[in-house]
Amino acid sequence: MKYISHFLNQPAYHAKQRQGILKDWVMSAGPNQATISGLLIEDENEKDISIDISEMEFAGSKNIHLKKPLAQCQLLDMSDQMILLAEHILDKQVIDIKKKKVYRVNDVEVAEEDGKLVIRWVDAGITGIMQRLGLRGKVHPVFSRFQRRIHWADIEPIDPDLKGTFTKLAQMHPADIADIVEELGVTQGADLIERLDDETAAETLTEVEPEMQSDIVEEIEPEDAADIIEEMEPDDAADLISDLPKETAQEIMEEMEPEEKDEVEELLRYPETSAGGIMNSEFLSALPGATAGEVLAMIRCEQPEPEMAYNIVVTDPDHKLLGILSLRDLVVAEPGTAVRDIMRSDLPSVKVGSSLKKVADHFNKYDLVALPVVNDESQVQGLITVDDLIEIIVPQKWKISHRKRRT
Amino acid sequence: MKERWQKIILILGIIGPGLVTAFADNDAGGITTYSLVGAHYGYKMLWMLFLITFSLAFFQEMVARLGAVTGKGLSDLIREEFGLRWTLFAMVVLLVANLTTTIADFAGVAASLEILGISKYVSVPLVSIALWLLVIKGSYRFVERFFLIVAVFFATYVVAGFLAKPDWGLAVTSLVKPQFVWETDYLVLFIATIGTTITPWMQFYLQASVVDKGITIKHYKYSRWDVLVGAFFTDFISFFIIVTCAATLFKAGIPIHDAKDAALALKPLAGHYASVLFALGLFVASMMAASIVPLSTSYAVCEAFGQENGLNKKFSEAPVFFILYTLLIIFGALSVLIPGLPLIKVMVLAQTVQGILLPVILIFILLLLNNRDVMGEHVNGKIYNTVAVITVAGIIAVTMILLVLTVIGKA
Repeated sequence: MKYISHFLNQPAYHAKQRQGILKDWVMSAGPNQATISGLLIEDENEKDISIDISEMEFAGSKNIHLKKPLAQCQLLDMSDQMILLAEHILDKQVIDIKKKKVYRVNDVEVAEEDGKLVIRWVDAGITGIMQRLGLRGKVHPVFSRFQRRIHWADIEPIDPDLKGTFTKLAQMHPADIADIVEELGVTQGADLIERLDDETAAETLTEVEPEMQSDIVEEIEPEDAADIIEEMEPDDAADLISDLPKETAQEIMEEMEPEEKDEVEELLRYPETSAGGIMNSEFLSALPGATAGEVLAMIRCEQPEPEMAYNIVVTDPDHKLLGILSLRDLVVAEPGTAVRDIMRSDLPSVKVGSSLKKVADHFNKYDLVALPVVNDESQVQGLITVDDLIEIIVPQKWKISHRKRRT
Repeated sequence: MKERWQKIILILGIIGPGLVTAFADNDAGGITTYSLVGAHYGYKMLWMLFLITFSLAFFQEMVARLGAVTGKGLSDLIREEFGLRWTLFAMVVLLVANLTTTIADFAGVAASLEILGISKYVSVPLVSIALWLLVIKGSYRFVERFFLIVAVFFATYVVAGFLAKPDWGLAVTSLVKPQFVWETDYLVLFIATIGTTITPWMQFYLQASVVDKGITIKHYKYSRWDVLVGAFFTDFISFFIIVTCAATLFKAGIPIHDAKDAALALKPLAGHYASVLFALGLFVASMMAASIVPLSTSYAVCEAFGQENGLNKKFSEAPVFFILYTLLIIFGALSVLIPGLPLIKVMVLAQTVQGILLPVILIFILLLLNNRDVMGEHVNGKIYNTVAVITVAGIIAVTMILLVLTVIGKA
């Protein structure tokens, strides 16, 4: 087992002759990569040369020994995206995707395996600091309590110099990624979100606390921001856009696809403190004459977002509200049963202008999971689901408490 | 109309870090040092206060910009750009400087309450427990608000200044007319004044606040004003402290040894209220700094070494953070309770140590501000670099002169 810091800035030799100084360890940035592919050596003329790892003697003790003189070594193909361990990992922040936290790397441990040099652990504890300062074994064992080694497979590097999308981070739940974004702050958080795929970025951004959401979006180029916001639920997108400064909001809206833009614009007409302001304008609807089997087939075909799938609004051809149908009712009914026979028409609805208090009262009184929102002509405009409501009624204090606060 | 409100709310959200830092800057060590400056040398050192205001403003602007561009704390950046060994060096410097400041601030708490007749053996333990609880149990928002309200007490110095009826004409001309006195005491106070006006911990604290408020380079223009106004405000208060003492104690030829002496001596010269106001101001300032300095130290050290930190974490989640904070408070408070300890010497020594260590931190900042990889297009311009280099060189030069004078024993 070796620590990479031991060899950095140390001379590399061939046949007792000094060839240059080891500046960095190189590996390709692909997913599931753990094998070191080369060395970056600064030669005697202060020129950086990347050579293939096969040119290194593995038996070497304290220093790096090369099999050939540096000038004859096989050069490393640097055309792919490369991670430089000293530049991008050591002393930098990384994410532990299992613990879902940001750590700072004190050292990296590598080991030989079948003639290859493989990265095993990242040390982020006090023991790593001690060992890098040459104090390992010289300190009281109480410090071993603070040992923290993270398996390389669980590490996602986040150095902003590393462009390209994340590979491991997407395994985390967007809500956990959002916690990390909040911990990293606006500038670094925006970097992180930009490097996620648009869909994950949208889900993550939705989970970030509202105040920070708009700060982050302002840091992202309008075209990229528009791509992310298009992937958000229209109600969340509308909330976010209404928090942005007018100019930024306009720039982003101009970049959005017409369909998503219209939906958001529609929602922006309603104040945030009204039922219209928190409803989602995307929902499933069915006519009363349809059968349960047909509606289920439609759900299969539409593949709606989870919160939209549980409730289907029943309207007449003129979009006037007739009732509401739960997924449960659909599933237990015989496929041939007509919707009008299984829908519930005794549940309430609210007007777009209704207060949030009224919305909350209805959810509470009728034990709802979804509440239709209608206009003055009783036409359905949207649906409020229970997750929209929880976001509003959970005390502000609870939401802040998990955010890192420093002075 | 909505746009204007949006703008006002935006500005209010950004204002704060610069002002809070500025308020906390005039802590016990600061007030003591300024009092001594006024009492011993009258208006003669005002010119350097005037100059140092620019250095302060420039450096505060620089760290605020560093925070806004990178979104990272100062110790994060030192670690990432200079590696572990330099970080360790910077953190040892910071710990030494901040521990002395914490001791000085507890000494300030003790001194101010003794003026009001409360023994330090009662006041210091009570205040340290209260501060510890405030920070550990309260949220950061509460702490910040508490301090913003408390900061109003700094107005007391302006009032005391007017009550002392100084020679305003002489005071203002002294601001721009350099006057030297070639003795070690003058140089010690000179360095102490720099050390108390531009402090190592402020740089870390301000940058962290800027990052924490989510201020990015896009909204930076408002933040710049917050920082610059803060810098001039802090020295505006310092000016009044010096002038108050110059108009009373220096004029009457009363030698003082600390801020407590100053407050007591003011009583017959400027009236009972000037004295009480002075003590009250000292108490508030000391208390504020005695909690902010250990807190910002804990954050900086934990950040540098990748240890978890944050007031909203539990002890088990961020043990190093809480242990360090608690130790700094305990050590600061206990040091002051040693019987027979000359508090005044401790305070001036603390400021002198800060002044001597300051260049180390300033050089790190200056290197970061000139690194295009870090700052991009926002690297330092020529004017900034000139002022910064002159400041650093000046502090080092004065420190050297002081060392030489001390060694050859010219007192």
